[in-house]
Amino acid sequence: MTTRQAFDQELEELSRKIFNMGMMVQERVGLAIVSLSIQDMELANEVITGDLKINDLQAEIEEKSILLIARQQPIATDLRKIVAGFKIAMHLERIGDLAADIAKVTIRIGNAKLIKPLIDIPQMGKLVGEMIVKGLDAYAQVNAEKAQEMSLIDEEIDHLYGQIFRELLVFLREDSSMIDQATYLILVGRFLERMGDYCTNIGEEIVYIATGKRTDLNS
Amino acid sequence: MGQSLSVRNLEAWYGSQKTLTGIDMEIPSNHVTAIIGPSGCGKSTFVRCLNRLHETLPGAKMKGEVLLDGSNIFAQDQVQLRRNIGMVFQKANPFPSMSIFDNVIAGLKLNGVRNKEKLRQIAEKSLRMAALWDEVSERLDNSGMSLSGGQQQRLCIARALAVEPSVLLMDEPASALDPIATLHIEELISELKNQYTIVIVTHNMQQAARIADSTAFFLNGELVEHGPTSEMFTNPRDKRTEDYISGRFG
Repeated sequence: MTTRQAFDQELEELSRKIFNMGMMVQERVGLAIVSLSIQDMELANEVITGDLKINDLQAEIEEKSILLIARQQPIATDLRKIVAGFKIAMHLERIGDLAADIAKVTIRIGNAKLIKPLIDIPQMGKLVGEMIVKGLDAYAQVNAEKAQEMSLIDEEIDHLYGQIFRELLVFLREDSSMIDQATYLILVGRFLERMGDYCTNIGEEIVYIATGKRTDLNS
Repeated sequence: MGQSLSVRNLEAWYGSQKTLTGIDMEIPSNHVTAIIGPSGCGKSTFVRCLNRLHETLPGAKMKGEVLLDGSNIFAQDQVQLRRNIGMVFQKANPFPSMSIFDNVIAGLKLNGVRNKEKLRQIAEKSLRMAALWDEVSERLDNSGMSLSGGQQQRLCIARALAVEPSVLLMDEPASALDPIATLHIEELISELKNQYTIVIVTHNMQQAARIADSTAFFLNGELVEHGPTSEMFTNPRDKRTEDYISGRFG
């Protein structure tokens, strides 16, 4: 005999909402990078306005989590799922904000010729997307090992950020006319690096749901 | 101060039916220990063994060891033991023909205390400790039955405290009370643990989560898991515990 079917369905619905929010954020990150690479202002504007939808989704997830806590008094794994889910949605929302920040850089650079072809930045974006997808997969399966595996990708992202930073520093030193764009691109690298950190935070929440233990995946 | 209890390989029967199987459990002094589990799991039997109330039932027997601060309770005089290990039941049971005052001092009188001033002092102290004094100090001569359900339960707690026990056993003390009276009792339990060791049987999981330092889960006469309440309610070790506390039992 199952005793909490309605509650289980609500928990599943909450997980589904978080999963869908994650997929949407992953898409936004991809589009933000494309807008920068091909200097597409229209697309950049779409990413910026689309962020509101992500914020709404997060608010919805928060509201639902609070209601479940108030009405169902969840404990043990149920409680961990709800509290960690709440935090995962928060991290995803921040990644969404950073995607919008990248789109804003696209608009600031405008149609000015790029000081260098973008190679590492799209690669970082691809890795962030990979982290989000793998993280969502680990979340759906409540799999701590997969969450830890996903978090390892952050090292590659950090490495690429270091590379971009050093490279753009050379531009800054050598040619003052490049200051604006080089600074913007360093910022984009930094945004992507932060996204990787948020993904490792998501990994930590998944480990917590699965095991009840706190872990640091960003060391 | 409260005393600790060590339970070793405790077994209990009602007739031929075994209701507790080899319970080992340490109950630290000045802690609130909650006993949870589905109906018929042996939790009430367990606490009734701790003050040897179980063996007073016809056909009931128990085996094993219960040590109160290291001393075996089976070697002690039962009356003295029950003075030391007080009990509060699910349904408040003040003596119906007695006043509030007489209810509180009933145990002391049975123990031969006659000094009126001493009785008055202890009654006041006990009623204060049970957080009831302010509500009844002007009407101590009224019948105990004139009080509300929550007040009657606090009166029973005061009665148990008057004989100065070191352990207080509570068998679902708030299950018949409304939410506010329940919270009064819970507040009281949290205060009383400074001076007493408290073991509380409860069906209310949130109550255990709110007040207990450690929680023990019983199932079919077996102690499945016993640990800090904070762990039991966030990350229990045994799947049966998880299923029970999260309401997915069976």
